[in-house]
Amino acid sequence: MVKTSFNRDLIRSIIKSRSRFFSVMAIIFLGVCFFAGINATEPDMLLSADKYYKEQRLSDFRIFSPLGFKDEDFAGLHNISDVKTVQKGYYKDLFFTTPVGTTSIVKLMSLQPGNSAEKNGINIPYLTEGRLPKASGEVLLLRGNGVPQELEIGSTVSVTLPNDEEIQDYLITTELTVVGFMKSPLYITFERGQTNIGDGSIAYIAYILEDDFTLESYNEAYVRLQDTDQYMSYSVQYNEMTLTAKNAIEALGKKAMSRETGALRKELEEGKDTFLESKAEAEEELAAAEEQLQQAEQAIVAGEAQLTENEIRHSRELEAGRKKISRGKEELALGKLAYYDGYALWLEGYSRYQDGRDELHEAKVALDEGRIKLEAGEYELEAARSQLEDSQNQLTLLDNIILLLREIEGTLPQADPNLNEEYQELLQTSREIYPEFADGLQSIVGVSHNYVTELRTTLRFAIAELELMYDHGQLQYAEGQKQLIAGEKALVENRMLYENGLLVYQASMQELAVAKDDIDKAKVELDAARVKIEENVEQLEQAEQDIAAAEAKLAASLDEGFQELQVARDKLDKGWATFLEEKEDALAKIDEAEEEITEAERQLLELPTQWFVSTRDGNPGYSGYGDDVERIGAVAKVFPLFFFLVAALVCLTTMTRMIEEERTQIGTMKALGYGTWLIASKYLLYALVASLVGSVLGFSLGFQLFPRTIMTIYGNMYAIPHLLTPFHLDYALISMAIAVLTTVVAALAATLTTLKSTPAQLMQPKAPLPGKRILFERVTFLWERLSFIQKVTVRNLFRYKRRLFMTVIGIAGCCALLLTGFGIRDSVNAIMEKQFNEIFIYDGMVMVDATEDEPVDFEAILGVEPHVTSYNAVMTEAVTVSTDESVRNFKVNLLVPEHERTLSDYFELHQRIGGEHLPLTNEGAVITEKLARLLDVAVGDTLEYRDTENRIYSITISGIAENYLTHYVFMSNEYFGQLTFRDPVYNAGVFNLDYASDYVESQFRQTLMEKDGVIGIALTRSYSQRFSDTLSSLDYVVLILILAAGALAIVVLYNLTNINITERMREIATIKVLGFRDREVSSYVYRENMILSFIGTLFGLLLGSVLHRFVIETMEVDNMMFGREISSINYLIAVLMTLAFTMLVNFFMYYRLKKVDMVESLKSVE
Amino acid sequence: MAFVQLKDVTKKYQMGEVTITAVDGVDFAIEKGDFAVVVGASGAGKTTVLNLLGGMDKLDGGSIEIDGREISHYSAKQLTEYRRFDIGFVFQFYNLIQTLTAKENVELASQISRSPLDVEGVLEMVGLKDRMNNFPSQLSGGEQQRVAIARALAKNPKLLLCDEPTGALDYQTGKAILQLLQDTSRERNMTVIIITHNTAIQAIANKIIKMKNGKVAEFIINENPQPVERIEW
Ligand SMILES: Nc1ncnc2c1ncn2[C@@H]1O[C@H](COP(=O)(O)OP(=O)(O)OP(=O)(O)O)[C@@H](O)[C@H]1O
Ligand SMILES: [Mg+2]
Repeated sequence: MVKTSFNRDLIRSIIKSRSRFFSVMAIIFLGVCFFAGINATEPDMLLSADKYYKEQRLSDFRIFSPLGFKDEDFAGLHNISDVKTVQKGYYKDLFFTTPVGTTSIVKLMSLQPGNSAEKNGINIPYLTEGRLPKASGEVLLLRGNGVPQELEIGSTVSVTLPNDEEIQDYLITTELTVVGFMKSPLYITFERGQTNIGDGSIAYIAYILEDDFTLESYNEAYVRLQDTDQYMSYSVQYNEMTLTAKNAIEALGKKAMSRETGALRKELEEGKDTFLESKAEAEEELAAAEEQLQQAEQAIVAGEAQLTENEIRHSRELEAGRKKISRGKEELALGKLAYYDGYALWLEGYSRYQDGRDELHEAKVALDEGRIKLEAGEYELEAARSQLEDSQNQLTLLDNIILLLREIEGTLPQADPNLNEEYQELLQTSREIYPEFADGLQSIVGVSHNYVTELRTTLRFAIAELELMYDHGQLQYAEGQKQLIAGEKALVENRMLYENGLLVYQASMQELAVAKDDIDKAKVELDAARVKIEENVEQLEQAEQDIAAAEAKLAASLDEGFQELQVARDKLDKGWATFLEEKEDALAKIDEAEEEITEAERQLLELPTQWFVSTRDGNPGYSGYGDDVERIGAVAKVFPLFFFLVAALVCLTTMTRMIEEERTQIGTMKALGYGTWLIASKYLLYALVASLVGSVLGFSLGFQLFPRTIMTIYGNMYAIPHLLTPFHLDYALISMAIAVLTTVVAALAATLTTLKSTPAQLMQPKAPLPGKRILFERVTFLWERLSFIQKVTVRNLFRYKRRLFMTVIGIAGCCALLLTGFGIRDSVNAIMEKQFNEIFIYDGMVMVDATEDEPVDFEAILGVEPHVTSYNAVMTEAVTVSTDESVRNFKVNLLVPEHERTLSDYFELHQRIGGEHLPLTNEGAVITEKLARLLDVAVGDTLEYRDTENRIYSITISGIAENYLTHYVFMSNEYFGQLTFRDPVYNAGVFNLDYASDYVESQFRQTLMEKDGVIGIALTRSYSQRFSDTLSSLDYVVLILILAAGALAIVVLYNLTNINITERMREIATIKVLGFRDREVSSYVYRENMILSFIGTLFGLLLGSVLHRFVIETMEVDNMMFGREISSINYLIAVLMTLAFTMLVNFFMYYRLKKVDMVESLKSVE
Repeated sequence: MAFVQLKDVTKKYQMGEVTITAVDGVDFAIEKGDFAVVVGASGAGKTTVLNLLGGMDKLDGGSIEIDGREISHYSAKQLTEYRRFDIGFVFQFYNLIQTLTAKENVELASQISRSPLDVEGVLEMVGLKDRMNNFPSQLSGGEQQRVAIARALAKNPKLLLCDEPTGALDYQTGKAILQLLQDTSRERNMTVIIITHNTAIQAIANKIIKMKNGKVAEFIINENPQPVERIEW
């Protein structure tokens, strides 16, 4: 039948691929186990605690009244509608001494007989040994670290009280016999609370019967509400349910306290008022007297001021007059000087004028001379001209004669005249022309007419001579004419010169006249100035005389004024003296009154106003447990999801692989006519069976393993006797559903894609993933640098993308878990290192028994010790700190040093970020970082703290200091004084040691303990040792994480490598046939793994540091702060371990590779 | 001494109760440079013999001597070295590595050889120089087979073993492949052994081994082998 062969096929499939089936199952198992187990831890822890609280009927409220409860208070409590049971109680902090002599601080509490569940009891002891006290003198002890070893059932302890308190005021007996040991839901941690006796911390708790107490009134009450049992402890509903009751109780408390303290308060206030009044009166009187005196003083001062003012004014006026005179004198002197200067100038000018005049005269004479010369020149020139004219005339004459002669010559006949008459005629004509010539001719020639030749010769001779004469004359004339022109020109020039000179002379003459005028005018001014100067001299003399007179008058009047003033001042001084005497008395009176007022105020401030109502959250054990559980819950939400993610991925890959392997078979079945769903159902069933089996196994183990382990680890810190690990249907179903869904969906996804193909396609061998060029190959310069094998590796990396992601995620997860594990260790170790090496740098602290009246001499205790290099007294007190807004309150150590300046030798207070040193000021207190964070406060905010005497003060935060262990409030003693109106009582001394070679701790401890007043010693060395021991439980957490990381890495890597090998069987066989050696074959496959591991590791480091931070922040307990950094060495270790896991897997796979059968794998196409 | 000498070689497979003797006392000898063909019916034990020759499997009896060295007692390590340096193997189904290009597939083999042939030269020889940067999925069957042959040749092996190299190929391609093998054998004096179902191919060999039921039924020495072009089927 279809069904049977189908089933057979399924079963054969499973058997055939057992390792695959198991690997799917294993990863599902791992994921579900982790998820269900860790998630179950939170509810299991809550259930276990809740069962304990309900069975022991844990109270909802603890109420403490500083003044004790009255019957009406209990009645009032019962009247609150929600309240079901009220248990009255006594308690007293005192000392128990064992027979061996160990003395411890014990909180002794009362036990009501028959406090049991049946009788509606409250906080019923959970008996672990012995029995409940039945008779007087029997004591039941609460198990805890503080109980001395030697105490067992039947032991007796003796009871002592601090200082001057009388035992019978509290108890009826001083000897108690131990009858049993118990646990209590009130004290589930080692914390036993603080007190105001001894070193301040309670060692253990003891219960005696109520009747053994002799206290007048009950001082505490425990209340349980009607509906408590209906709610889970720690639930939101429970918390809401308690709110109304709490308010009602608090209101009741306020009323009760005002009732109790009303009378006292009124008295105190009245007293204070009277003192305030008398103080005010005295102050008023004093003020009045002072005012009178001050008025008188003011009058004097005013008179004095008036006088001084007058003096100043008058002298200023006089001064002004004097100044004027001297200025006048100065001016006068200047005037005189100016006058003399002017005179000198005038003289100079005048002599210059005279010189000028003389010069001009001389110039005039010269000019005149010039004119005469000019005129003479003209005259001469004229003469020369006429002479020249004469000579010209002569020349003309001569010329004429020559012409005549020529003419005569011309007339002369060529032959000798024949006729006398003609000669005569010639003579005549000659005579007419030139008589002398005619004469001469006549004389020469006589009257003969033969003369003509002779005549002609003579005539010619004469003409020649005459022409010579004429030429000569002509030359002379030209010369003369030239000279004449030159003379004329010279004359013109001279005349011009002369005329210019004359002009200059006339101008100078005029200037001179003007200058003369000026000089004369200056002279007139000078004379006027002189007169004025003389007048001024007279005036000045008069003014000087006037001023001298005024001065004398002023001096006289001032003298008189000052004398009067002196008299008044003397009188005032006497008045002040009397006043001061009286004032001292008055002030003393005021001081007294003020002291009284302060005292009254302090008493008023310290007067309790309310009951202290604490809910379960106020119990550090209860709330600490709740917080721890919540932290585990938070972790539970992150870690397992991670595992699931990996599981889903592994399943997907595995199923896909399986279906690919059975491809041909699927094709055959399809061809045979099987329906798609039927075929698919085989794989779905396969996945279903694997995941169902895996998850059932997973949660079955997980529900037990994780809650039990974690509760056992937490059992070291919390004493809760129950360990419930019920089956959680919800987590079982959720985890199973997730597991089944992921695997089946993975199977479905893988099947459906395959089933879509036709049978024919399926029967064909599936084409192997084709090779492709990857993007990286485009980066040619890088690609070409790769070796051949590297190229193959890179290509394969990108070819199998799913595997790439899975490996990276798996490895990253592994590395992240490792880093987180180691990081937690680092963070915890930081507490030790930073706290004791950088912040608490003191070497020890000694606790002493000091009171206000009897301060302790620290010098005698510490100063004389040779090994103590320095010390500082401090006041330390365990106080409770809260803010107005927060419900939670925290135990805090208040520390007030005697010397603030040397505090940093012991406590190095600084900010964590930036490291700025924080000094103690008078403006506020320095608190530690974790406290600030828990209360969500910042610098400048205010906090309230309650001291061991239940007094409440409000402080301002001035700084927030780095600190890792417990909480501290540091304040200067002055600020403490301002706050409390008290002086700090130094009850401890911090000191530093030299650790010299002869220092022996036990000896040192003993010598100190033997000293008067010393009640305890804490040495930092041994304290830090003890603390590091308590933290070692965290190593388990680290171990769990490392194991989980290892499991994760191995499962993921094994799976992937496995798939990798199967998928590539042919490829591997092929290269084996080619002759690749085993090492080469494995590195061919592993190189990819290593690269992916490397990438995964890098991501892991990132993820790990985030995860670490988250875990640290959620795991942190209230009174510690973990370090935030992971050391670099641990980064390295995480990387190395991750790689080691990878190598381990690779190592195992090496053998698988070796076994790959070439013949088988290559036989045919798959 | 012959280059390849098989003496009484036996190989058995244990199938639960049943023992199958796949090779049952096979003897034959082949000389250096021979072109030998193994023929026989399906299940006759041809592949088994070739695997034994190729050092991929261990024999159960008898001895195999290659070039004077006895490989039947080799350890797995020695067999690897033997495959690496002496053998070239051509598979029936090519068995190329899909993520590597043709050239890279050849390089994969030449990388580990002592005296490899030039990769591109070999590819040219098989006529695939142009396609050497293609991936197997981009090549035809015959081309893939030629890459496989190139891969075997690139190692420059003493002995080239081919299991049905033409089985999946058409007539022409098959012939081309055979031509290539014959040429190589002749030119390089390389010893080649080919398994085939195709009796026509016998003609080109100079040694013919006929197998039947795990035994050598007939050993023929062909004095004048035919060139590939002449034969037909
Ligand atoms: N791994 C194995 N397990 C069992 N029997 C095998 C194995 N390998 C081969 N055989 C058997 O050995 C015999 C010879 O097989 P072989 O593969 O050598 O035959 P063949 O001659 O190559 O046949 P074919 O021509 O069909 O390829 C066959 O009967 C086969 O069943
Ligand atoms: Mg075969």
